[in-house]
Amino acid sequence: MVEVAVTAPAVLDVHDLRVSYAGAVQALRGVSLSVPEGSVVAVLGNNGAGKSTLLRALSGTLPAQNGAVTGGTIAFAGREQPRDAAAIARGGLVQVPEGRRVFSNLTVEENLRAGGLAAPDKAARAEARAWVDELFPILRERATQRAGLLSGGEQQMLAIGRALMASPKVLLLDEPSLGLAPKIVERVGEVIREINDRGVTVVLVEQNAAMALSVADHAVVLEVGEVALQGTADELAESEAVKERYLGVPRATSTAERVESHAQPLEVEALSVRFGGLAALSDVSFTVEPGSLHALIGPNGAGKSTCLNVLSGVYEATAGSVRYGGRELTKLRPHRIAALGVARTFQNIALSPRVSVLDNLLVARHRLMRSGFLADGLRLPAARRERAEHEARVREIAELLGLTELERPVGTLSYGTRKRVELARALCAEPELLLLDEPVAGMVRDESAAMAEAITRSRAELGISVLLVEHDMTFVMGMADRVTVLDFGKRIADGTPAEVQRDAEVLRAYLGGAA
Amino acid sequence: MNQFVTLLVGGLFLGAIYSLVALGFVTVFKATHVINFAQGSVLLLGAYVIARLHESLGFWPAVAVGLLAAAACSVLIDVVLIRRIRRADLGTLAILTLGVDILLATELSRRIGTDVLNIGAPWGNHVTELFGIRVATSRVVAGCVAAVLVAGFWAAFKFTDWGIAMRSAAEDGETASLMGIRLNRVAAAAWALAGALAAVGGLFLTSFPAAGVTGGVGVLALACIPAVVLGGFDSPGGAVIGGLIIGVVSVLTAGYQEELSFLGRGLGGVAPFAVMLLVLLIRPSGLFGTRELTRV
Amino acid sequence: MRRLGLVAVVLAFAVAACGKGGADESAGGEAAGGEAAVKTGPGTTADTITLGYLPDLSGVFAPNGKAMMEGANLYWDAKNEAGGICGRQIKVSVQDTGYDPQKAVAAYQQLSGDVVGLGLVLGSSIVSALLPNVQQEGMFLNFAGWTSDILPNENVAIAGTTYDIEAINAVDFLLTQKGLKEGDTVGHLYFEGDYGENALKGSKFAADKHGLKLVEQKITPADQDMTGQVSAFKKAGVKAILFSAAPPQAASLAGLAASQKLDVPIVANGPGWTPQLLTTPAADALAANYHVVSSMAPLSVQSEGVTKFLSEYEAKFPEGTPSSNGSLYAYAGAQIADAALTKACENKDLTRKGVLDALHSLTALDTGGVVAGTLDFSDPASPPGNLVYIAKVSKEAPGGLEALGEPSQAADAEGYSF
Repeated sequence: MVEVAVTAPAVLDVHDLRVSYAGAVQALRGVSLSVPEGSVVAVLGNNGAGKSTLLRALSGTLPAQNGAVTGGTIAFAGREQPRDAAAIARGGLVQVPEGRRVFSNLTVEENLRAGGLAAPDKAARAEARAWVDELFPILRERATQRAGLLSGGEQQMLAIGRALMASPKVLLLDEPSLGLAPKIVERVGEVIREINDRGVTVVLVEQNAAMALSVADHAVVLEVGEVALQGTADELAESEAVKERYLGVPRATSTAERVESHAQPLEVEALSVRFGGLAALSDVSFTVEPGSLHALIGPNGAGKSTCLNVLSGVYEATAGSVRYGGRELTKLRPHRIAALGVARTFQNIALSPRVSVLDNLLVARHRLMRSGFLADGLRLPAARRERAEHEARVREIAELLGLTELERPVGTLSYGTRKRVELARALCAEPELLLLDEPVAGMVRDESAAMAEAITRSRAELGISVLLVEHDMTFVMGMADRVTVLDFGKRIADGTPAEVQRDAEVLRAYLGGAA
Repeated sequence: MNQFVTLLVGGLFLGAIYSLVALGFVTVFKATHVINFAQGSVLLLGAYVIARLHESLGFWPAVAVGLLAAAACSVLIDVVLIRRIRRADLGTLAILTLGVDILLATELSRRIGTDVLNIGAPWGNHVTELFGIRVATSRVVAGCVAAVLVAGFWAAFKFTDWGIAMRSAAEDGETASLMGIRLNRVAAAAWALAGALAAVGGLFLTSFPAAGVTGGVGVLALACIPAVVLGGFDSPGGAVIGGLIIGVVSVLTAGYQEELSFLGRGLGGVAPFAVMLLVLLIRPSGLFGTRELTRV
Repeated sequence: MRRLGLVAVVLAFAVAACGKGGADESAGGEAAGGEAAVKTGPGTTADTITLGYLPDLSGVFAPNGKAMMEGANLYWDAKNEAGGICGRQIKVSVQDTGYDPQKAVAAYQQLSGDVVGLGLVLGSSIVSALLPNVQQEGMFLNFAGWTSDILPNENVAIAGTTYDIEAINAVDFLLTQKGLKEGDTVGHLYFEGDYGENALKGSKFAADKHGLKLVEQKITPADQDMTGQVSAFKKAGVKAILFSAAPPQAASLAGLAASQKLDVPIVANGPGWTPQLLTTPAADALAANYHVVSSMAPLSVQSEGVTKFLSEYEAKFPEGTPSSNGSLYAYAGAQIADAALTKACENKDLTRKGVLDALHSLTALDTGGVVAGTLDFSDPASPPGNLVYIAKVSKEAPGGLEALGEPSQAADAEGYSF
């Protein structure tokens, strides 16, 4: 274990902490962490690494999720920490929950008062109130408004202000940048600094490593419930290990031998999308070559999904063009785009859970069937023959993706397998270009490896182009031919994985200013 | 016309009493997400204690003891039964309180038997004349007490730390506990308040023009269920309005029974539920209820 | 629920079979060794006669049940001290019904093998549940309840008259004593169910006959606040109110009528009164206008039977409060059972059939004024009595009721068919 260089005494000391959910799932497997007084410590890691679990253990809210500490100790200010969430908060360890969770039916003023209930005395409350007013003048203006009417950024400010009202010694922040615009994220970072300057120790859990490393003194990286790396923020931002984790390793040898393909090039030119006054995409251009695997990546909120939605006809472009083999797609309805051979999957699974895998896949081939459903239903000989042909093709595609139990209802399969069924369904429509939206979101490591394998094989065997949207850079680095990186709606890089990984802009976006 | 006004005023005063009981119902629901069917028997308990003690202690001390007893009983239900299964689903908790209600009501009505216990209120069967309408003084007192309590309740909810804690906990318990709000205390306070409100309701429901405390008084709290549903389960304001509506409807249907006899006799008991169903057909989450609630 | 019922039935049969077996055995033995050739059967031996009692001792009518058992024990203890009936001591076998028909059937099965008849059963739902068995086993049953719906029935004895006859008498009282005239409007506040609806049948008959307009207000026992009803009566301009509900509603009705200045006589059926009403805030209003029509004597009546009852009661239960429709009713029921058993003894037949026949042969049973008039049990299609006491609430009178004159009978009750 790498010891963090400790200059101040630890205010929060976690030793060999083990947590499991529902008595079975091990979420933390012996995490040790020492938070020096007056520091900002960032806890980094991917989804499922155990970041939130660690915070829940610290704030005493594990029982609400059916979780329990099964081993190890948490010491706060030198004493063993109480179990009850309210007692912990009153002791000076206050958490700003993920997703802000302001009391939306209460006014801003009342939200702040609710936070003040945990303050040690009236004087502390008054002092905290003055400070919150100074930090967040906007909250003063909105004092009598219902908190639910505030914008996301304002709600985040309120959530932080509410926690400050309790005069915390240690402030725990759970994903404060999630879903916020870049300017606001920047402001949140500044606020964390200001809070820390007043002597409040901060523990910051973030997926946005750039933001976290820019404000933290120390950082730990969690991976499947264990501490994988730790050190000062600067050390970590520089370290190859973190770069690898966040940026991935490009394939040593490019296997980008061109696949035999009958697909056409997809050309995106100067594409802009605005929602009201907000620019979700501005002036984005890239080209997906026939038969290539093209990745579109970027941190949360970069505009990736928006781009995909324009390509598949769900959103309308404000300006610019998207051409597939000479056909302009921006004016077409989604089903017309699909008819051109452009298929997509969704972030959320959209399959019929009670129906077998085979039937779920066959549905996708209806577009290709000549006999109507009546003939099929009557089991006329021609229809029977046709059905048999389709079924054979479906089985082929399923095998390609490593799907074996085709008779099982989809609902009984594991999450990773269901995602592959969804991919198979998209492929059963025999597309030329496949748009994949975060295919490995929420998957454990083995599952995402299986998915990567399935994507690579289906592209090679079926000769299609793939446009892959993903925020996990490590996933795409090993398989993409070309990568386009978006940040805050703008294209910041475009090139081979190796080129992109060296790009200074990309490093800044993913790892923060230190890089 | 005169009859209508008399009935309307009588109904509003009766409704004011229902409002108090319904308010207790809503408070418990907001704080702990329990549909508390035991409210009826707690009401009976409060009234029973007052009726039994007023001769030896005097009326006001007896009322104090009755309120305390009902509040304590209510808190006990929460602490002993509800707290350990706080995260159980709505149905389980509701049935649990129904069980408590049956036990407590059976025991109390066994003790009361066929007796009619006088509640011993100082206003007895006095009558007050309001703008030419004669109303039982106890009902006027009930109306004033209800108005004061509802206003006080509203102010406490709105302005005190306790009220803020209660509303925060009602909205998002987990976050509230992260803010240092002790959920168990908030819950206990809500239950205590509901018990005390039930006892006040019981006191007035058994005062003149009712005869006194009988075994069947607990059933009267049933009238508050349409009031609560009608108002929307989680809305204190809705409970108050719902209570008033139910009071007026039941008195009007009883008063116009002759004119409404084509609908069948004995309509008074059914009408509140009919009104409730009508409202729910149009607004499935009640007049003032939060919409999410229908999805619970 | 269905399943539970089935189990109950099976159990009931099992118990019944056991009970009967035992009874037959003892009956056989007694018949052989009996003296003076008095025929005996289940429930009677050479030296005892056993009567079954099925009161409610744990349910909502438990206080009533307790009062009834006081009255019954009072009578039988005195009787046994005086030598019993037919040289035999009377044994009282009690089973609690909890006012629950299911439980009552089980309780009945427990004791039915060993009793000659049922000295008292409380509640018409209970009686309805028991009747098939009672009829099959040929017992008499003394019913604590006065609804004519139970008529005609060979096995059931009622002390006095029924609610409908009471209501007819009430109207007659209003016409003759309270200045009610043809064309007037009368209100009737009644419970849903057999009690209130039976009384309503009588009041409708009487109203028809005398050209009165009847304003009906039906309520349930859960209704405790009569604001709407009183207001409706006032608007209809009623000149009198008939009342067939329970004491809580009586207090509300009388109190509200007074507060609305609806100063009219109220006449109630027997169950509409309890002396405790005088402790409620409505006591003054009740004393001003409230009357009770019942064939059970008000405790203030100076008749031989009532005086005897009161002195015996005070001697035995110095702390207790006697009540007309509790202890006195059971006392009257015991008088009837006594008369039937004594007659059966004279007939040398103490079997169940013998007792039932003896009961039907009583044509002029005098209870010493406990029940109004004399009782005639010869016609199972009509109640044994037609006379009623009319009493007025009085704070001074024992039991809170003061009888107005002698027991009387309305002329039109004659033409009434049940």
